[in-house]
Amino acid sequence: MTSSHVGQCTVLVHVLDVDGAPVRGAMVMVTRSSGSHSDIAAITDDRGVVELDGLVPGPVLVEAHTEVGRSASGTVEADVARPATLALRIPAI
Amino acid sequence: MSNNSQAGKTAVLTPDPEVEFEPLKSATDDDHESDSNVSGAEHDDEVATSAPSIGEEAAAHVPTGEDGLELADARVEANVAFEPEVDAELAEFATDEDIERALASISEVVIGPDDRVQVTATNRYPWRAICSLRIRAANGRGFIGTGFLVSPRVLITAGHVVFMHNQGGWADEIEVIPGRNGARQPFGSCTSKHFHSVTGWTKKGDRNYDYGAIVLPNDCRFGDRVGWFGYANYSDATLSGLKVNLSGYPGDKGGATQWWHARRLTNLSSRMLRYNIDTAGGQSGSPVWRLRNGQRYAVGVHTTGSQSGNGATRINGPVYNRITSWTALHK
Repeated sequence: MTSSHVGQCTVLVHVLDVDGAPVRGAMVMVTRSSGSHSDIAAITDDRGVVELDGLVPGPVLVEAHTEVGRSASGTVEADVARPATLALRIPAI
Repeated sequence: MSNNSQAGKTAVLTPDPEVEFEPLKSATDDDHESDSNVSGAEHDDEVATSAPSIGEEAAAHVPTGEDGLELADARVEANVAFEPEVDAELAEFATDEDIERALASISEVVIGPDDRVQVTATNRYPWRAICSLRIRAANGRGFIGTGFLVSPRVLITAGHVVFMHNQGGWADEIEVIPGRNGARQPFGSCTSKHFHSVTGWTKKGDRNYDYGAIVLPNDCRFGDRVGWFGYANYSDATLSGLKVNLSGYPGDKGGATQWWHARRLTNLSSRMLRYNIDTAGGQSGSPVWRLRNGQRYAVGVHTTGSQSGNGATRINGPVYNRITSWTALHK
């Protein structure tokens, strides 16, 4: 596998509101990683969860945006050994 | 260069001397072997190519006549932050004097890291040939991306939009919305379940082959109405430092509005283009195009973000030929 191949790391992102309830329909994306990342955005399901894959090991900056313009971001360490998990809380208006 | 197809009429255009064509390498370049979620015999490789088409309701504006950015150079070089919802059509077709007057009316602020411009004239070409995509993966998960029309029925996008290795493979379906502008869908939408990519992506997961196509149903020929992008395989000399445009549907802006940015290419290889054009998740599949003599030619398909420069799959010879084969297959 060369550096042009997609990475093997996965990050599970859980998007919540200020009360801890899942946020459905948020757009979640990688904005910075240790290598290249696909510029696609995942949409959270009813549980507020998305899976971001194809990442290379190292720190990953993740952002979540709602359709009404609220957002949250956080950093997680991507690891080949196991999927990393990240919880993002969308602030209230 | 290619045949210009509009409403059944064809015309052969004089080849552009700067455009170089690499011979089809399908016999030896296995990684560009076409792959699809729909089985069936494919046509021979003798195909017709297509120049850009502006579709119906042609704009009455005069093309700029120069290589460059969709916005006047002076505007971009001034590096001024814009008010939201600047009309990109005014910026594209206005004279330099018009641009300067518009700039004078806009508050000048310190530029932050993001100077993308929202496109509001999405009912006009070329913006209407760029499509918002709502993707349902094979495992039911949802994603957003961007694609652009290259013929009446074929959109080009990133390979990872139509085939996701860790989400069950081929997408289940993709909703295509040309010229989407928030809640407005000026041309409606259609859903496709027919996709193409190449084995370099689907079998090997190699980003050098990260491109694919979405085929619209025969009763949804968006390109006939909104037009389509031309595409070209240019030489390294032509691409080096070339001004390019990129426009798509980023998720950090809500995912339903189109945003444009432009810069010169910073790096290129035989298979990839690099640039410091601002992008965000959701813009995978956006066209990277050259504006020349009023014609738009895609030179790359935006695929990745990276600290070393965002990137696109370069439309080189094999990619050019593969795209052409797909458009010929789905007339």
